[in-house]
Amino acid sequence: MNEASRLLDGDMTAVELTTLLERLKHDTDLRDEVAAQQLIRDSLAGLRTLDNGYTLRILARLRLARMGGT
Amino acid sequence: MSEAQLAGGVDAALVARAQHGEMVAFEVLVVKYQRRVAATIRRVVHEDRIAEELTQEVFLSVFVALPSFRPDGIFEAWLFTIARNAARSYLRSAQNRQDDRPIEQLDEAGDTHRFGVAPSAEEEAMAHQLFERIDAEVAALPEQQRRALLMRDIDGLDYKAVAAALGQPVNTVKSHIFRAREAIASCARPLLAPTRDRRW
Repeated sequence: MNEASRLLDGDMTAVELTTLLERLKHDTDLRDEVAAQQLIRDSLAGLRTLDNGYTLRILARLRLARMGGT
Repeated sequence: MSEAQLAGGVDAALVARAQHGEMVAFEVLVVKYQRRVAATIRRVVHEDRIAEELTQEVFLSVFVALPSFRPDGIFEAWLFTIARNAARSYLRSAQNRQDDRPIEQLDEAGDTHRFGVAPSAEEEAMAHQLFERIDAEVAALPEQQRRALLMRDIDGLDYKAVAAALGQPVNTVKSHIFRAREAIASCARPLLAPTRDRRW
C-alpha cells in the first residue's frame, strides 16, 4: 500500500515509521503525497478546503515560537 | 524497536517522537488534523480569519504542552479538547472581540503571514473542480472498493472491522482501500499541482 496512506492509517511498524519520517525531512514528493492523501480523507468527511498555505503558516508560527518569537 | 505494528497507534508514536525533538513528527500531526481542528473552531467562532488564528494558537499550545502529554493519553481527544476550549475562550474574551479588525487592516499591519488571505475566485473555482472530481471518482469506484473506503474513511472503522463487515480477508480489504485511494489521488494530483508552493 502507498506509504502515505499507511502512515495516516498507522499501518506500519516503528522501524518503518522511523525510515519514513527521515525521508519526509527531505522528500517533497512524499510530503506532497501525505498532504494529498489527507486532503482526500478530509474531503470524504465533508471538510472541503484546499490548504492554500494553512499548514505552512501553522508551522511558521511553531518555528517562530521555537526561536523565542511569538 | 518492535517490528509489530505500532501498538499504541501512529499518533502516540508521532507524539513520542515529537517529544524527543523530532519536528517532522509533529508536522505530520499538523497535516493530519489541521482541517478538523479549524472546522471545530469555525463552528464556534463563525469566522475564517479567527478560526485560522485560533488553529495556529491551538497547535502552538499543543506543541508547548507536549512534554506534559502522558504516553497513555489519546492525542486526538487532547487536541480537540484544547481546540474547543480555545474557541469558547475566544468567545468569552472581550479583549479578543476588540481585536475584530477587518482583514484589510490586518494585512496592512503585516499579519498576512499569520492569518493568510481569502482564497481568490480562481482558487475557489479550482477547489470546486477538485472536490467535484473526487466525488465523481468515488462514485465510479467498483462497489467493493467504494464500500471498503467509505467504511474506513467516513465511518472510521479499522481494517479488521471493515473486513468483518464485508466478509473478506483483511488483506483483501487493504487492497480495495489502497486501489480506491490511488484512483482518487490520480485524479486529484494534477489539480493540486498548481498549489504546490503553498503546501507542506
